[in-house]
Order: sequence, then C-alpha cells, then structure tokens
Amino acid sequence: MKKLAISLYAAFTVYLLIRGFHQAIFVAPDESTMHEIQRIFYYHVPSAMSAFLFFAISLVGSIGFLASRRNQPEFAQRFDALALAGAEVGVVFCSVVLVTGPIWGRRAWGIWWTWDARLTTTLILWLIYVSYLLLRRFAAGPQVQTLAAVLGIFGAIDVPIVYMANRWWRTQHPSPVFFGGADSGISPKMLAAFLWNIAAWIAWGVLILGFRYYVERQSQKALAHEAQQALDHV
Amino acid sequence: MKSSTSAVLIALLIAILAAVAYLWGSHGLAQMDINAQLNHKFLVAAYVLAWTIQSGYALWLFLKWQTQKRAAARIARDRR
Amino acid sequence: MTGILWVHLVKDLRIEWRSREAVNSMLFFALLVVVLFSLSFDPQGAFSRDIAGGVLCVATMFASVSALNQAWAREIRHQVLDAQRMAPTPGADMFLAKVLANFLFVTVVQVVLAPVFVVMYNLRILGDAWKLALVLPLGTWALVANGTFFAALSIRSRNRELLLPLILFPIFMPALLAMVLATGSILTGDSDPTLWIKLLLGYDIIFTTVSLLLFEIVLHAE
Repeated sequence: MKKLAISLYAAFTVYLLIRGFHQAIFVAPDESTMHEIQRIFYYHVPSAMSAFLFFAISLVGSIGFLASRRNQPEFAQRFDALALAGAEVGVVFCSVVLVTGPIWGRRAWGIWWTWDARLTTTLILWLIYVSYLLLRRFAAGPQVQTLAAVLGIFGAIDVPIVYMANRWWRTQHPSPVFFGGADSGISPKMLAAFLWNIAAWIAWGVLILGFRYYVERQSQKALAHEAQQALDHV
Repeated sequence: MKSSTSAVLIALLIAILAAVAYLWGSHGLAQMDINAQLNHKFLVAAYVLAWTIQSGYALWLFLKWQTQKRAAARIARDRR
Repeated sequence: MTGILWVHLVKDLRIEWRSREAVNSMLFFALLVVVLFSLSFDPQGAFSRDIAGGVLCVATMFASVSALNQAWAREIRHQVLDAQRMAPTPGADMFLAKVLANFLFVTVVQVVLAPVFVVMYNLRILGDAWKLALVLPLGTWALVANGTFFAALSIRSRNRELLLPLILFPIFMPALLAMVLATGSILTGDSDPTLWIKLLLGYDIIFTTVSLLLFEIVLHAE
C-alpha cells in the first residue's frame, strides 16, 4: 500500500514536470522585450522558492532536534534527518538558481553577475548551507548532530541580516539593472506556466526530500544497530 | 549494485543530457537571426543545466541507497 | 558570575602573556597580508583609499583565524576542557572571557598595524577619523565572538584547522561587508558610515546573544 502510494506520487510528479516543461516552452507566449530567454524564469523562480522552502524545513529540523534531543531521542533523530535532508535538497535547488540566473542575466543585462541584493543573498545562503553540509561531513561522532543543528540556526539568523545589508548597500548606489518581477504585469498564460512549474518543482523537491530522509533514517538505524551489537559483545 | 552498473547509469545520464542539449540546442536555428539564436542556446543551456543538477543529485542519492541496501544485506548474511 | 568571568579572563591573558604566541603570529601574518596586497596592487592616492578598508578587514580576518584555532586547542591538552565541562560554572562565562581575551589580542594587532598600514598605502583619511575607533572594534567583536564560538564548535572534528574558516566566513560575510563599506566611506569621506555602524552594532548584539544562549549546548555536545 505504501509502495503504491509512493509510486503514484512519483508518477504524478513526473506528469507535473512534463506539463510544466510543456507549458513553459510551448504554451506560454513570447515575452515582448526579452523573447525566448525570458522562459528561463519558469525554472529559475520556482527553484528559488523551493530552495527557501527547504531551507526553512531544515531550520525546523534543527530547532526540533535541539528541543527534543534530551527528552525524546527517537524524535530528535527524525528531526535531525529532516534537517539534513532539507539542507541538501535546498542546496540543490539553490545551485539551480545560481546557475540559471547568470545565464539569463548575461542575455538580459549583458553581465553574468552583479552584487545585487537578491543575488548576493542567494549566494551567501548557498555558501552557508554548503558549510553546514561540510561540517556534517567533517565532524565525526555523535556530537555532530548537535553541532550541525547549532550551525543551522546561526545560518538561518544570518540570512535576513545579509538581505538587509545588501538592500541598504544597493539603495545607496542604485544599480542600472532591475529584477523584472514575475508578477509585474504578467499575462494569464504566463502565470499558468509559472504556477505549473512551481507545483512541479515543489512536488519533485518533496519527493527527493522524502527519499533523502528515508536514506538518512536507514543509516541512523544501521549505526544504532552497530553500537548495540558492540555493546552486546562486551 | 556493482560499481560497473553505477558507471553505466552515470554514463547513460550524461549521454541523455548531452543528446538533449545538442538536439534541442540546434533545433530550428536556421530560421532565427543571430540574437534569437543566442537566446535559444542560452535557454537550452539553462534548462539542461537545471536538469543536470537535479537528476545528478537524484542519481547520487539512488546509488547511495543501493550501497546502503547492499551493506545491510551483507550484515544480515553475516549474522546467519 | 562576574568573578568566574574574571578568573577565566585573567587565566587566558596570563597564558598569552607568557608565550605571546597568538599576538605575535597574528601580527606577522597580518603584516604579510598587508605587504602582499601592497606589492600586488601598488596602491596610490584615491585608489589606495578605495581598497584600503577591504585590505585591512580581510587581513585582520585571516590573521585572527590562525589565533582562534589556538584558543580552544590550548584547553584540549591535558583534558582541561573536560574538566571545564564538569565544573559547576556557566559555560557562558568561559565563552565571554575567551571572546574578551581574543578581542584584546586582535585590537593590539590592529593598533600596531595601523601605522604600517598608513605608510604602505600612502593614506590620508578624508572622513571623520574618530569613527574608525567605533567601526574597527565593532567589526573585530563580530569576528571574534563568532570565531570563538565556531572554534569551539569545530574543536572536536577531524581537521578542525580547516573547518573553522569554512564555517566562519559565510556567517561573517554581512559584518565584513558592513565593516569594509564603513571603513571605506570613512577613508574616502564621500558617504556617511552611520548606517553601517548601526548594522555592525545590530549584528554584534544578535550574534553575541545567540552565541551566549547556544554555547552551553556546544560545550556539552555529546
């Protein structure tokens, strides 16, 4: 039953992805000034939204782990797996944002990169969560979960500060380029393509998140089992 | 899963992505002016790279899962 | 509370006074960075004012990482840290004392470095020079408070010397940005650094509070 549900959900996700792709490339009308290059938005913006969503999930996992690690160790392990899965999937989506963004910018602005508020914030967000994953890889032993949770909370606090800093910075020195927001005078067909892609990428992200969570839970259980066996031998 | 199977899977993924990039990237270029050609190529690059990152991560996760399952099976066999 | 803090602080200062390892190595390292940048860019006039703030901040940042790595490594020898963890005193005191001690060391380095810096970069400050006395301590505090915290966090990992900059620098970035822009605007005198000083102050307050709250968890992480 559970397997069936997962297969159905995966099939639905694939349908959404195909539909989103079709909408973005074939259905949505050509944008009047940017033409074809504007279609990058249908992948870029939903990925950015997903990245923020999964980083938020990671933060929930970190806080949940610290709150429950003393009283409910079993729950804490689940939260920890959630924090790790959220951070990893978030980094994947954030990488997509950071790769597709400059490709669009090169054609639309004529430059690959600028230290604009949103660009800088996204880049620093990516750096913070990569450092989080590095810590999880480098630090050994059982304390790594606690340390990672603490770093996850620090990283999350940093994000609004980074955003404010960059907004002030750029307000003092207005830059010639603007982020053409997706909601500024968008036609209904464009909006439809946009919404299909949001649904598709979030569904895909949740699928991968669940998979990553499952794998991490399995490895946690294997570790616990090993520790138990070592105790039994003594 | 054997490491040769993993290598085949990785090669297959790269081949598919490269084929899509080539076929879609060169599709209909003849009717476009130079600006539209560049736009088209950049668009294809963005979409293919997005899929490379996403499917690459998914494949990595799948291989990790397979390795884990194999390790678990080995432990279960040793116990018996 | 303050008594324990004082004991920790005096101990840290005395250790440093006997060896002078941290200050000497930081000083020489920062000097090297300043010389290297000066050599590679040959700064003169307006250009030197533009980059000087950034160079000074980055030099301090790199230099202090080498010292912060040592800050907790000292405690690891002879299981001192384990003894500290068993002591019935709040961990926040120990943390704050370490931050204060390292803050002093980095400030000493900056004071010694400043004249060298002015000479090498041919600087003439066009803004309000006294504001530097506000910006540099605030930026240094942000660096040292976070650095001490993350040094304690990475102390029990493999290759900790490598890990500290990797996790410290991304978190420190907004403070670095504010510090560089504030120093730059003081040196060139063409914009008002007040906003950046406020940002640094806010960053210091937020992260010092969070560090004090979470330090106990890091210290007793099992």
